[in-house]
Amino acid sequence: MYFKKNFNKSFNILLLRILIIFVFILVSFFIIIPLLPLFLKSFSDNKNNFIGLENFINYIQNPSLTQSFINSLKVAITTTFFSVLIGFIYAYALTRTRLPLKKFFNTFSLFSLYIPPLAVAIGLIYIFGKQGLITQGFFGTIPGFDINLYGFNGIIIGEIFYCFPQALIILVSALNLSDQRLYEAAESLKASPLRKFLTITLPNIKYGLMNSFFICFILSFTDFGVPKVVGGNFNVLATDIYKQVVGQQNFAMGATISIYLLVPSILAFLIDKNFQKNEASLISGKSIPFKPRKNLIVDSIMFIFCSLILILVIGVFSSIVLASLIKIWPYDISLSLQNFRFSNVAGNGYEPYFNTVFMSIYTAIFGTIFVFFTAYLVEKFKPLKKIRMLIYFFSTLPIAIPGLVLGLSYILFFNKPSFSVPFLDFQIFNPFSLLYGTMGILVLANIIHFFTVCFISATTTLKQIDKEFEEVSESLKVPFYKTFLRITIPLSLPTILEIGSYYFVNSMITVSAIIFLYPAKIPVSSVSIVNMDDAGDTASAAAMSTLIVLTSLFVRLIYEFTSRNVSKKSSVWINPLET
Amino acid sequence: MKKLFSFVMGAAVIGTALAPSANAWWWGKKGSEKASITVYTALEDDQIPNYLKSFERDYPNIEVNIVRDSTGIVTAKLLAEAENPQADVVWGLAASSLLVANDRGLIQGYAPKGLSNVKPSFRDPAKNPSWVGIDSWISAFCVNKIEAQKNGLSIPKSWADLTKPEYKGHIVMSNPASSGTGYLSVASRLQNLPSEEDGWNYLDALHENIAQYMHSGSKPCKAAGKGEYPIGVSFGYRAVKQVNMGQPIEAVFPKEGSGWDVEANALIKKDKIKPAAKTFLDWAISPEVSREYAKSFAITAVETDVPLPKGFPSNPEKQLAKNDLQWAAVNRERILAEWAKRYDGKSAPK
Amino acid sequence: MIKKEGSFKYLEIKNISKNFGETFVLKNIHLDVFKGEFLCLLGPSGCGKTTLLRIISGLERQTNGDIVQDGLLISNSPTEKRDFGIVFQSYALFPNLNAKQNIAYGLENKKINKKEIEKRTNNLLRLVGLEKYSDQFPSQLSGGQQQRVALARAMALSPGLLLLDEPLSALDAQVRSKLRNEIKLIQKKLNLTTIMVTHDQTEALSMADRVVVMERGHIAQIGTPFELYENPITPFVADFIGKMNLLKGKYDKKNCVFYYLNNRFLISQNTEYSFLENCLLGIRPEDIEIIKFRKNIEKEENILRVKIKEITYLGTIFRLTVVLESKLEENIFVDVISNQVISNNLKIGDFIDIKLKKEKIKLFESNL
Repeated sequence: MYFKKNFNKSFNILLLRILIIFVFILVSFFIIIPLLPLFLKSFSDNKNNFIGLENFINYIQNPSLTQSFINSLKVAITTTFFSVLIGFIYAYALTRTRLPLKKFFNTFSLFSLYIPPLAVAIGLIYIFGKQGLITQGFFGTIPGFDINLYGFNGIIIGEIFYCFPQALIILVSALNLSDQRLYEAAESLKASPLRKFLTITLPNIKYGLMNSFFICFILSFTDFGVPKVVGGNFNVLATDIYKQVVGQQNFAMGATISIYLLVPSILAFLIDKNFQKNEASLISGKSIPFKPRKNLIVDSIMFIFCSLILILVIGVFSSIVLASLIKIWPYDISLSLQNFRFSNVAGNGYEPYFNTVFMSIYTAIFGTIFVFFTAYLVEKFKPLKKIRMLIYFFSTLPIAIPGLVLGLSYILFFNKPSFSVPFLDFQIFNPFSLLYGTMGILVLANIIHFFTVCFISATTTLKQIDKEFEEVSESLKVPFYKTFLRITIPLSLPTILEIGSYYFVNSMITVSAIIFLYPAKIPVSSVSIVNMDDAGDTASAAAMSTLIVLTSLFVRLIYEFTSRNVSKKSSVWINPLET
Repeated sequence: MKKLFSFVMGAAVIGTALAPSANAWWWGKKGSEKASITVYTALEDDQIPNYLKSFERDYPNIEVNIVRDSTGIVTAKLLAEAENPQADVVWGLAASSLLVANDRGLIQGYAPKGLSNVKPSFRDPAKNPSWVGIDSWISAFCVNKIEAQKNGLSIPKSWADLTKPEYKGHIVMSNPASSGTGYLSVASRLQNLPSEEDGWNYLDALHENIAQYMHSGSKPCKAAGKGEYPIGVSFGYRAVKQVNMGQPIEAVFPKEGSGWDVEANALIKKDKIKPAAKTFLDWAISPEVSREYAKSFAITAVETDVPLPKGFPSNPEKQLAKNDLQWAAVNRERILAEWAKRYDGKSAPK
Repeated sequence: MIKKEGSFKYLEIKNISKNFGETFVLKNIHLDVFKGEFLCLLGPSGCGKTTLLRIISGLERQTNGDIVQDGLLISNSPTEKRDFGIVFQSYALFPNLNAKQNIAYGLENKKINKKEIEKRTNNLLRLVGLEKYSDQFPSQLSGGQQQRVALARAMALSPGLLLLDEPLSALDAQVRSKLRNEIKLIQKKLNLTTIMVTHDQTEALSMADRVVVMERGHIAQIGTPFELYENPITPFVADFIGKMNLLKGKYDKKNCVFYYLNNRFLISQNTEYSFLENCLLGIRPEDIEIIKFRKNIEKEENILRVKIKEITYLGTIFRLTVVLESKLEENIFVDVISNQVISNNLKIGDFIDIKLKKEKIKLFESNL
């Protein structure tokens, strides 16, 4: 017989299990369960009678609606192709060449992400619309050129504006992970630049490429802001949902189309997931970072390319600024600053602006904490494997949910004071309903709406941190949460900052999810931009957009500054001994 | 390391400082002792403060929280919140939308004080009407004079004119599937020609000239104002407003008469109906605020002595085409399905 | 050398098995580790040695079986309740903490006052000879220095058991052999029971008091380095520890003769082999003599005429690879001291006679 000390129960493992289950419950309640009422709606008519698959059959039999499905696919495929291509070249220029003015190009690389979609549309109309600068050849000074903005072309340009920075973010981090030694080895074997590119560069970033394909495809497939404004008669699924829900209050059909919208997204997700399974890390911890060499031809081509992209983006932004200053475009081009006093137009002066800034700060803080902690629990621990896998799956779903659908399902779920238990005459109080009508619901909607990209980026970073750190801590009797605070967080700080700033800029511009959700007392500026534009105050809408862009740019500069300091500090941990 | 840690801690401290419970940004403007009501409205943003002035003066103890959005969004929001209505009152929403909401049992009939002043066609005839109108909005064309001249177009005067070949590709109109204004025009055409068949024939011809169906009621007029397209089929208030803003727009009220809808108020059915909600509804049809409505709308539910706003036809009541709101509501789904079959989908950009 | 009798069993591993579904990683492992002993788990990759180490640490759970440490049953105890320190192959040093902070990491979590922590950390730094490097971050330290920090960190909480998972494999040869001695010295000085996993037999033989040779999830043999080398009980152990020529043939028990092709070898009668005809003859390269220039060859036993296929210079010795003309594909290795090769002017292609020392020949059961 041996002494059997009663220390078989570990407080830490118990705590860990509780935390994992807690996060699982949160993720379920924020992502999956709100979708259920929507799912049920797609099987019922507008009086809530169950009608089986009738909606789905009606949808397929309606040729104009199926046309939208095909259109959405066309848009998504074209956008994905160009966004990833542009994103890749830009990212390549930033990471693998001696691009002149690199810091400048880096700071402004995500600029088009700061512009609210409606403002992008306004800007595009001012440049490419029937009366646009380019269409009319700068007031007739040069021959004009009409790109036929309204319709497919306009949607594609608008979507690329939104999607290419997303591809860029992923590809920059993928291209940053490289090993100089591989290139040196290839050089010693006299490999041509093309061969090096095909055999080293591409295989190394294939996972990043796949991810950016996936994200661009789904974003452009589900987006509704751009098609609504410059889509003309080119119908896509997202605008169909808008027509059904907002135009005709036909929730059931709206829900049905949402389900159709989810299908390709989930397919894309499964393909991506499958691909990920075969992913093996090609870069080891001992890799030597790639140091680009001067190459006049490549560097200048890249410089021209990146400049062209930035000129287009800044051009659109300038025309928004111009729009905010001009009295009556294009007939009375006198300038004034009066549009920046929002008191006499839609939406309560500067209140919506400050609401939005605070909403974005909350989203950035709470969202980053939640997303990073979720990724940490999923990635770093062993208990409850199945539940962790479910959390992972749920976390990758939000990207497939269009904002409009998310907003609606949030109303349906969070505005329910209680749940009824099936078969029993019994009601359970819905604690989440307390959030409805507060800033909380907006913050939550934003956190979930942009969850996937942040989650993937957090997971990728955590994967790169040695799993043995946790084991060593266990052997040193240090509880995991201390190691999380002292080791994991400091090592992930650059990524954490990036997630925070991603949340911030996206929350500044988002409309689709929160247009249904914002409470009476909390007007937000992205919605008031829509309202001002609706009311014909394009100039004020442009002025508000300008403020939003400048705010995001300001936050980006803070981010650059902070992360530069952080990386200066952390370089001593990461860079190998220089001797 | 220490510094990094303190940075993280700093962020956490800022987080707590901004902590939800403690500040106004979380809950919105600070609530006071006042009774407060939430009002959903689709009235234009810039009109609302003017209207509310007299309410705020007379009822300083009632706080009014306005949620303003387009007709479609407000209606969708009302329906989505059916289980736990957030609004107390709907103010100035299309009567056709209120019919939908009433159909779902979301509205409590209420006869506001002064109901007798409201013209009979501007209210639900029931004793406790589910909706009571405040004004009427009518369809109109916004024609950009400069662009029309550039393109050598004459100013269209009637619905019939719009089908002339010269306007091909120069007209934009609201999409009836996404905008109440668009539906207004379509429903009106179907009711005002000898038969519905003739109505569809007319729309077929019109479709030949349409460059774009847009997803909002005001957008065609805005597009015309910016010269994107010379002619926008939109609504009267919008056209007149843009004229007054100084855009080169002519507001055209078609000869055959305009489609129209009523902007109306309703009381939301909920467990606890606040007295303040009824007070608001009483006020919303008072002569004083009606005078304010009359400054921007040619036709108001309560007769006022305000002179007709600039830009409207001299006898606005006569401008109204035949319109049965009930008919329009009942047949909506059928009409939109037919419309989509004929003109949606196939209409790839030209 | 450890006296087994009367020594205190510090760690008892009882019937430990680990399987994933149908696949066994470990099967019925029994092992006792004595107080103050340095034990090596040795085996090729995939033999289950690391899994066994991780089960002892609680980082992985056994499917069956029990572990008793210092009289306490710890089979189901969580890692943080077990008494051990561990050094990983990758060291897993926290990159954002300097050497001193890494070592103090576990101490800071205990309720010890700062002075005490400072004192103990400095002692540990001195123990591993890194006093001067206390403020350096891991990336600023060399591989050997990192290894020492990891060792000091593992010993910081004065654990009763030290686990080393391939601690030296990432280092270059010179640093490695230096560190071998250092680790061994520290271990003896502290009388710290230590289990080390390695796939390097030289490392195991030079450091361990006892070596556990593992093969495909079970223990092939346990013994002191000397025992294993001199008396391997299976051909696997024989060939894994040092080098052993294995020739397949038939054993005539009655006459103590082994038949290999056309050759017969006399086997020493000291050992009784119980098994049947088909078996393996084992002989280490250094136990084969060259008898090229001796007279009276006919009278000698256990002679083979072979052809030199390869000559490899190994410093003090040459290793000859020789083959029988009748069986060219089977290599036999012979170790010869260098000057014998030089003085005899041996060349590739030469025919020589070799003699297998009778008393050094071992027979193994053939598992084919």
